Order: sequence, then C-alpha cells, then structure tokens
Amino acid sequence: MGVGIVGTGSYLPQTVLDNAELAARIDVDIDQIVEKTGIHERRIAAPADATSDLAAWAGKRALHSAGIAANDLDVVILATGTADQPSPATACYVQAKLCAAKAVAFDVMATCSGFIYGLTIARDMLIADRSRKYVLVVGAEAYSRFVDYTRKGASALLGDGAGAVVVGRTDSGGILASRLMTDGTLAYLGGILGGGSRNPASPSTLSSGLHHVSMNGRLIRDLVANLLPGLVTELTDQLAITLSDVDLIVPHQANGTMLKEWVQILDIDPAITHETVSKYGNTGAASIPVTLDDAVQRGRLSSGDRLLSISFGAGVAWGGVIVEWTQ
Amino acid sequence: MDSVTHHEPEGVARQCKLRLSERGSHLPEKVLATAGFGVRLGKAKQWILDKTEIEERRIAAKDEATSDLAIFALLKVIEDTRISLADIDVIVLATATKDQPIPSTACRVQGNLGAMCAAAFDIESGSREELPLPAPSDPDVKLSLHPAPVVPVSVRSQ
Repeated sequence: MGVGIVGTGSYLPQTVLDNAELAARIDVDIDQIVEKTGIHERRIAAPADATSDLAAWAGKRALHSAGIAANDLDVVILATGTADQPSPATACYVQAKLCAAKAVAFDVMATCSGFIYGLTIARDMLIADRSRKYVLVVGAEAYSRFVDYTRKGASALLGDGAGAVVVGRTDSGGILASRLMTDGTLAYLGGILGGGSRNPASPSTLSSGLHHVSMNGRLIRDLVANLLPGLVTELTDQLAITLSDVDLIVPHQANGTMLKEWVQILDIDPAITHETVSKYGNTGAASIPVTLDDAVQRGRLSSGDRLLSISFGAGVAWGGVIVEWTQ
Repeated sequence: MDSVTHHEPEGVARQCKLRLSERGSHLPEKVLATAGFGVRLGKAKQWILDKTEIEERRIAAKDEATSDLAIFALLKVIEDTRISLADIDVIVLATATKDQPIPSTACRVQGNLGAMCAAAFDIESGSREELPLPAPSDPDVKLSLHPAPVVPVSVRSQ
C-alpha cells in the first residue's frame, strides 16, 4: 500500500498573450524574448476570474480523472502566491465552488514550490490518519494581476493557469521520496514587496509599484544551477537509484532557457523532460501540475514509471518528489 | 480504528507518539486600551466592552512585521529548551497578515533565525488565524516526527 497520484487535471484561460502583442506594449524584441525565456505565449485569466476560479476548474477535471466526487474529498490544499484576497484562504473559495462539503481546506505558501510542498503535506496527512481517503492538491496562479505590463522581465515570463491532482491510496508505488528545502536569507531575490505587514498598502506603495512582481533573474538562475544537482541526488539517494532509473522529469517551468540549462547540468537526454513553458510561460505553483496533466494527456506515463518532479521558487524554497506512477 | 496492521511506505513510516514539546509567545509592547480606542471610534468604552469583552490589544511597532513577532516567539522557545536551530526540520507559519504577498513569511523567519536545515512555508485557513492545535496534553498529537515549530502569528494593526 502506498499514497500516490490517482487523478490529474488542469485549466488554462482562453486568452493568449503572445510575444507580438507583448512587444507592441513594451519596447522589446520578439527574438530576444524567445532567446532569453524560450516562451512564445502565455495565458491571461478573464477579467472576472480570480485564482480560485482557475483552481476550481482544474480541481473538477482532476476529480473526474480520479473518478471520484467532490464529496469524497477529505482535504483541499491550494498552493498559490496570488491568492484571491489576503484573507481568508483561497482554498476556502475552491472548497465552496467544488461543493467539497466534507473537506478541510487551507492554502500553502511556498511560492513556485508550493505544489511540491502541498503534495508532501497531502501524503503525510493520509499517512497520519487512516480515516482520510482523498486529498485534492491544486496549484493555481493569476500572475497577470500582479505583473507590470509596461516593463520587461516578469511580463514575458509569467502566465496564469491551474493544475490539480487527487492524492489517494494505491496498491503499490506512489510518492516514494520527498525533499523540501528553504533558504530564507535569499528572500530578497524576488517577490511582491507591498501590501503586507512590512509595507502595508498605501498610496505610496501603489505609486512605487510595490504591488507588482519584481525579481533578480540573473542571480536566481545562477543560484538554481548550484542547487539543482544536490536536490536531485538527495531524492535519488532516498531510493538508492540514479537519474537513469527515472522515466520522466516534470520540472517547474521556470523559464525555457533555464530548463535547457538544467538538462545540460544534469547531463540527461532532453527527451525525458516534459515542458509546457513555451506555450504557457511560468505559471508559478501551477506549472508542475499543469505540465504533469499535459504529460498524462499525451500518454507519457505508464504504470510503474518513475516520475521526478523538482521546483525552485522565491523564498528561496525548493524541493522535489519521486513518484512511482500507478493507473 | 482499523485494527489490521498497516505497513506504511518505507522511509516515511514510524508509528510513534508525538507531542507539542515546547511553547513560546511574544506580544508587542504597545497597548491599545479600549478606553483610548473608544475615543477614536466615538464610542463609549462600555459599548465596546459589551460587544467584544476585549479590554486591550497589542499593536506592533511601526518597523515590526509579522516575521519579527514570529521570530521573538520562536527565540523564547529556543532559549528555554535544548532544541538547537539546526534540529528544526520544518517551520510552519500560520498567518493571515504576511510580511509581503510573495515570498512566504516563513522564509523570512527561517532565514533571520538561521534555522538553515528547516523547510519553511506559510499556511492559511479560514477566518481563524491559528491552526486548530490539539491540547498539549493529548498523547496522540500528530504534528511531525521531528521538532517543528508551529507559529500562529498576526499583525492586524497594519
């Protein structure tokens, strides 16, 4: 018996923001965007939709894929950095929209690594209490609400979307390894500075643009390149396997150019990684479940396959899991 | 409970009793008494007391954010116990009033405290800011296999 992923689903908003439209808004060369990010287009949530709407649609599809009803859920965990509102938790809205009446719901915040943190918490909650059967873990972001579309950088990278998995009990396999790590001394590398208890929302935080995402891309890229090999080794060592025993890698879709760099650093066949960053951009905590669902839809995972998923996010918070796939 | 012996996944599984081993708290120095509060609101002190039964509340200093209050509380835990910062595997911060929207406030706590072995994340539930923690005397409290501070903290004044 194990605890594993028994259903996946995703939701991407219909509105596409492509590089041509972005280049029309800001003075930037399209070729340069592709060269620096590998991103051709990203999705933008409809004006009336917030993070919980995207999350609920993805959650509904994951429930369908698992063949269970919302009422079967014991826990709803939402990983997001772009909550509907500061309080209460966005997970409460998702729970209500899904009519998951029996589920306890809460948000987990570990930025882009939130889904991996949430998945680990889901596994541990099922192990801790035998009476629980199913946990819905959703990663969802509406970054377009926090991006300054008059400036380079985050505007080219970030997109909106949601992905979800149902975590349940499996006869074999499941989530076999997990590792979560944090280095808060590097919290200054990226984020949204305004609107919290440090810089409460005020006319001055608004006029300074502190409600927008800011990041130091160069430093983040170098840092991740340093952390990546250690994280992968820690995970494979838990199972006494090597990377050659892994069938599919679903990394956080940070940046297409970075993903190519990761393939070189790890010295692996690019074909064993799955990417969606070129069409959806970096969707934060949603990127892993969105990309995982894409891989499942394309038939890239069979029973018994070993899936490695890794993420790095602001904080700095990073982590990974190895899952033996079950169908 | 199911009485059948259950074999948990390897590496994660140890059936053992866990407890809330240590506790600490911190409250900002500045007091906002209901009397003073009533003047601001144009309400009598007794009217507020009848509605809330709250005599006074504390207000964080201008340069204090939620992570600062959390760190003071955690330092009290650390000072009074044999737990060293390196022993902490997980920091769970429960708050509805983060330092900033991104990244997590738990990262600030972890980094400023220097608990460098700990994975840190924020958790937020409904309108209650605190996790529904079981009573410390409960022998079956399941929190973590290792010391893991759970820090409910709030800065509403901002």
